[in-house]
Amino acid sequence: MRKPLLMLLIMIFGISGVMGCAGLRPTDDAGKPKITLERVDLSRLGPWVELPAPTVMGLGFVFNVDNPSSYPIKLENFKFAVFFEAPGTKEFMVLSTATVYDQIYFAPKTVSQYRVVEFLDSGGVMRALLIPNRPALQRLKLEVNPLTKEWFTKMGTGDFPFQIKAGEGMAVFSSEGVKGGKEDFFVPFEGTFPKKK
Amino acid sequence: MRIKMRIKMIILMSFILCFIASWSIGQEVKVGALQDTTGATSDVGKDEALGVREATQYYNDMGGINGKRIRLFQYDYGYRIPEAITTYKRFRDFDKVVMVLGWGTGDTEALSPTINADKMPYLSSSFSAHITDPKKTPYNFVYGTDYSTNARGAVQYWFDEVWKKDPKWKELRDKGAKPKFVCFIDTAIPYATAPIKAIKDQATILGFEIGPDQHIPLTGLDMKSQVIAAKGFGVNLVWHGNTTMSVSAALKDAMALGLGADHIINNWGFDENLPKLAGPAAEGAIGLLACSLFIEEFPGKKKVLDYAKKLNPGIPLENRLIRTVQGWLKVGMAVEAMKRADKAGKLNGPGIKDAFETFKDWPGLKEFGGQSVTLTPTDHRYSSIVKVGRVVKGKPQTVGEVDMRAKFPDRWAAWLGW
Repeated sequence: MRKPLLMLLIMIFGISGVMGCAGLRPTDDAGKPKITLERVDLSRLGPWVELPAPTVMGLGFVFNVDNPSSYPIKLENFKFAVFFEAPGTKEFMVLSTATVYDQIYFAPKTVSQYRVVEFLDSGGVMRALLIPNRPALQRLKLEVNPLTKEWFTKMGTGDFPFQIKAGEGMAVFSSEGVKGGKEDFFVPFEGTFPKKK
Repeated sequence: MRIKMRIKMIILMSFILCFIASWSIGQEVKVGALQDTTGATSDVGKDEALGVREATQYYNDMGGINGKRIRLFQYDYGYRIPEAITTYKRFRDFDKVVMVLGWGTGDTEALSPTINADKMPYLSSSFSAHITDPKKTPYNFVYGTDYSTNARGAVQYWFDEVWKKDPKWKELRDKGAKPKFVCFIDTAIPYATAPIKAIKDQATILGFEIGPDQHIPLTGLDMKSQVIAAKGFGVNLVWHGNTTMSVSAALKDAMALGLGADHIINNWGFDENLPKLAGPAAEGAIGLLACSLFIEEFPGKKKVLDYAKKLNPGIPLENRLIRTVQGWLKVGMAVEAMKRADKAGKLNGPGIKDAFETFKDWPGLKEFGGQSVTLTPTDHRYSSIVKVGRVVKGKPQTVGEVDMRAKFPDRWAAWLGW
């Protein structure tokens, strides 16, 4: 009666000990998650109406989340800034910030896809051009309203006529595999779509 | 039999220890943050939002709220009041936060009746004096000298240090002329209008002649007609009450049209970007500071830099502003109140409010260039000290402080809530 119970205890502690120590941790260099922008989908585009009336554009940003570690990792916060390329300038204008707090686990040694849908409206884009992007606009001698209209009217034509960037990206993860149990760790990311040809 | 009992005891103790460990690890303190990273004040709001996030992580790494991790929910509401109200309701009903870090004056004042009814502590980046009187708004707090005290201090500083001393104004001084004063503000924005009554009162106290307000939109590109109107009045001193982007445009037009006046600028219009955007037109401009500039040296700078690099490596440090440091002030003050409330066993709305009101010469923000903080159940003004900066040789820098309570001890009490 005593022996099987002792054996069981030894096995439980032994297995948990091995599991607790084995494999790549998600904070090791080789085990750290990697996030890349796979593509951008146009989820919704309203018909253009002249400013200041708003036109809506929904964009789906699809990211690959690679977890090479031996532990499941929990995504706690995912944020990035949305940039559009000003056509013909090779410069990007920051237009909005996408932020998600949904919690989701990514399994060990897998690559999963994670979609964030961000809605822009032409009024908000116009304001973003007038405030944080104003120095760049003045330098490039671009006008706010024509640029806004160009983005919203050309988006639905052809094969993505300008580049879109998910920049200043930061994902906050936690994992039981990290020392301290719940310590946050951060993964910066950035990507553009379509890729340069 | 005895061994069996021991084994059972070991198993039981293991379960208890695991339970305690997971309970302590799992304890979180939820805090909501409203930010403007894309709206009309995003020229200053984006950088502040970064500072708030980075400071929160620092305090979490230092043990959070007495061992409890801070879980921050940070949302961009684009400076749109309806979205701020909706997001607040989400914080209250869904995220169940213990306090809110707010942003603009419009949304802070619009939400004030609700947050006070809900007993939700609300530490705001709007330093509107309207929310510093606890008789009316007991759950509102600010982390900087209020706009009205600041505005009075800016006028006072200019009067004492420039009008009375600068050779530029000698001729007018010798003639006994009254300084002529005009406000450049977005008259539709509560942030810009909040201190106007106080600043005009201070200008009247000092014997200024006050001209008509000039409407300067936050998104404005061309301020020539407003500058011409002010020039027609013969203005000597202009108060700029907007944010950096439109202030810089106004300064450029003022220079281009030879306005010849001096400029004093509210807190959210004066930062490292101002001389970059306005160029020589910003030279000599006086502005209000809530703390040290990002480009200055201050005791807490290393941690600010370390966490900027750690959390947001994609954002060049040369683009960072005083707003990052302000984010640290905001979170630092909130953390101190939550720690005190937690120690008292009351980590909830009323407990955090009571904890704020125990601040007496609290020096915690000095490491970021902030002031010692004293708050009482009858006065939520953060400090009476006005920190003044100036653009010198193309760079903004701290040039002095004015203690408005010390200067006007008989008036200080009556200025509460202006």
